[in-house]
Amino acid sequence: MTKQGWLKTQGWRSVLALGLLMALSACVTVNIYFPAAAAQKLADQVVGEVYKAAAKGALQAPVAPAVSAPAPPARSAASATDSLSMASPYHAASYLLAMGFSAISGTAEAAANLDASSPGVQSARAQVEALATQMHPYFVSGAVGYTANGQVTIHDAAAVSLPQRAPLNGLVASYNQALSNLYQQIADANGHPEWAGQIQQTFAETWIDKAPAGYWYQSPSGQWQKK
Amino acid sequence: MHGRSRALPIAVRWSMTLCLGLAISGVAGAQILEISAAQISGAGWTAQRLHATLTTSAQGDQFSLAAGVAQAGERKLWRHARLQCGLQTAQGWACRQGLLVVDGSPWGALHGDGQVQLRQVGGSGQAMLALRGVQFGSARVQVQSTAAGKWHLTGAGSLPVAGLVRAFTLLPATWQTSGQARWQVRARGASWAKARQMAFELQGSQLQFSSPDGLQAAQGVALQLQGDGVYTGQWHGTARMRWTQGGVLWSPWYWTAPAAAVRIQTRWQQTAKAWQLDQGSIRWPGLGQGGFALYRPTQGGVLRWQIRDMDVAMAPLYANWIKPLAPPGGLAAQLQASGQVHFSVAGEGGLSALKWDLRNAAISSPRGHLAVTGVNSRGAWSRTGKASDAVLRWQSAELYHIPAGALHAELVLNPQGFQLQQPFTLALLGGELHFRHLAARWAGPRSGFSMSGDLRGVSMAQLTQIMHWPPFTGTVSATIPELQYHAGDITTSGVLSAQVFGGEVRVGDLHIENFLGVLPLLRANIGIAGLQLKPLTDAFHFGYISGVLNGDVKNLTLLNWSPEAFQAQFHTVPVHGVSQKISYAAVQSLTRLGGGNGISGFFQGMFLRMFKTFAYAHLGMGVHLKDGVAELSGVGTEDSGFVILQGQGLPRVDIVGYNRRVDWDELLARLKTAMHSGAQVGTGE
Repeated sequence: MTKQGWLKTQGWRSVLALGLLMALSACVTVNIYFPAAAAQKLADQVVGEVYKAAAKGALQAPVAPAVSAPAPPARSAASATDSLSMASPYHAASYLLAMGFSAISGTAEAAANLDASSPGVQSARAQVEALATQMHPYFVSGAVGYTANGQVTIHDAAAVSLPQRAPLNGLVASYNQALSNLYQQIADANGHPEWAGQIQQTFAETWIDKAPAGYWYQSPSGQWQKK
Repeated sequence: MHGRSRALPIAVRWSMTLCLGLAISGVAGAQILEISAAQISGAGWTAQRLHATLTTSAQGDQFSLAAGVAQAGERKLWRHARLQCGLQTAQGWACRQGLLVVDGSPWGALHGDGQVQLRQVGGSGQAMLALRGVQFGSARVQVQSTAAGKWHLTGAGSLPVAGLVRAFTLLPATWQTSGQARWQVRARGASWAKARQMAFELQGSQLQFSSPDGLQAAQGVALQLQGDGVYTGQWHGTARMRWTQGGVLWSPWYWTAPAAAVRIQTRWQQTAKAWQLDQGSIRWPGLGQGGFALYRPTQGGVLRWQIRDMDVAMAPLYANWIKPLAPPGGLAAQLQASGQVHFSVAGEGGLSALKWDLRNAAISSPRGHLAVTGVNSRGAWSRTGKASDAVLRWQSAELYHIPAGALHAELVLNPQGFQLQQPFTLALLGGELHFRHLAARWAGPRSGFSMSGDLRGVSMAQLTQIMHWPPFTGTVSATIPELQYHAGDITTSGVLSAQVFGGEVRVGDLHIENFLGVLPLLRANIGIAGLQLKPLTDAFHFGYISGVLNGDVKNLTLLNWSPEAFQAQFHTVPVHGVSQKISYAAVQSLTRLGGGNGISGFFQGMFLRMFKTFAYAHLGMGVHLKDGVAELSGVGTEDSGFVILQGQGLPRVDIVGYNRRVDWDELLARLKTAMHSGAQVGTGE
């Protein structure tokens, strides 16, 4: 038996042994991770529409989006794909082994949808949009701005006239309540109430990213900045 | 000493304490008299580290006075004040071309000029002080005294308000203030430092203030304050105020001066224990008028106030005083009110008592969610007192365009809320809503309203028409177990049961979010048992069906009162003594509902028309609505279809649907068509 033949035999034996071991010990755990990409896509859509409704000054019935994003591929699969370019039987076997193992054992990362079509989300969005219309002149004037955690706060009350200032405090409180409700409703609608914080953080960045020029926002350190 | 010293024109009863230094010296032809005192104090004031210098020379006499600290009560008025002037003693003492420098005062550092005159004419004295400075404006004060010690003071001037506010701590030190004030003072007394009468007038213009966050502020305010007082063992007098211009923000309230001035007048009194305003009256054009009183303890304690017998218009009262307290997105923030109200209210660390008489009032919301007319109510409430009675009446009301009849409710008010004195009934959609229990709590986690009662004979036709629901006829009677309203949400703790068409509809887990707000959301589970199909199909023009129907609607979700999602299934159950028959027209209707176009075959149709009714074994349908699409099912399956009607005997009619997924709007259209096209059939039953 040539050295190459011996290696081939040994390789297949190893594959067989590992396959048996794998079959005996395989267990599957599927973790549904927070779908960051889907959350970002949803945030882009909702935030865009809220800004649009606020600027237009009219309440529009929200269109229920349902977006999904694929889960990131497992690291083991990715590395195996790279190794496919090496055409030796050993490497091919290793690839198959890795693929098989990743398919039946270890931790899998499942893709998760972010469904925003639930009536609760629609109602919450309608409330946000209705209040956003009232908040619009305060954002434009710089009286209020976004915090780094997806809420709003008073930036410079003196930027608006005294009559406009009167309801400002209550409006900010109501708007923050409506925003928190929206984040929670999205998390609840997707069966993961614990995602509310991550959804809020995703929205926080989007409110600032998509804010029209002239809007004020706070950096994570609390510093006010103007778009 | 030069020998020019004369007796002071008036008796000064100041006490000079600690140290009085006197020094006379002569330098280069000039003579200098220096007097220093560690402290001089009078009634309510103190001056420390005083140093007076009189220098006489051929060029003229010079007088200078320096004071380390001058304070009134606990408040430091001046710090390091220095006055220097040329002294003339030809006709009394005159200190002319004086220069005043003060390092610290309520106005900040001061720099001004002025003059002081002291004259004695036949035992009476006269003093005049004139001061002028950029920071403190100008002041001219004249004092005349008699030999007996009686004196009379007049003063006038103008000053920036900022210093005045700081001096008397009228607002917190961090607030910004500006504006000008002109003032006049007259006072008289029997002896120095003991005033017995005084009068003052203050005219402020372009007054402004602002808290650091800008949520308490005023702009362009013009007001006039007048007052007088007499000392008879304690100070008391009257005060009047006119507010003529400007706006005041005290978030969440904002008020502007009406075209005609707001007038306030009151009697005031200062005792050792408190500042007190009583017999006050306020006249606010466009709002109303009434009386008030106020008691502010000087040694700490809670401010007590009363507003008595106010007669005000509801429209401005609600818009400017009540509505700002409501959350911006809620119903209360959208309401408008009219009518008149007479009320008295008292506070002591919060609202403590209220008495009202509301006459011919009305409440409405712009979008027509709520409208109440002919409202009359009177009653009283106390935070600490015992329960009291109240009456609420209205002529008519509308909630979501659902009209309700006249109301007469008698309530018992207690410190925490109110409850019904006795049950009452409200006419509603041809029937009535009977309130067995109605109560409210003002505060706490269980704040809001709760009610229980009965619906009797309410017309479903009217209700479904108003709510734009699929048409439904007949009447409904229901028992409302315990319905609670809190912060825009309605929940029930029990099962709402309604007797409909001989059966029972039970609504459980009812929860309405954002009631009367934007896009209200209703969630409920509904169970149906023993519904008689004959009267049901009689009520709808659906064709004739007899039998008994059971079913349920799970996870019903209405968004803005339109179905958004549910899982419904209905099926007949055999009941002894009740036939299960269906007419040809009903077969047609069911066929359309299932997605067909009715019985299309000519011979089949002609044959079936020969029979009035057909017997059936099972009848039922399931609808699962989600995302605007309804998924249909039946009482069984056949091939790839679902069985809606499974016939029995001969002739046997089965209805099988094959289009399981249908757009919700399409299904509604089918239902509407079926209800209007099914001719009623006389079956003799």
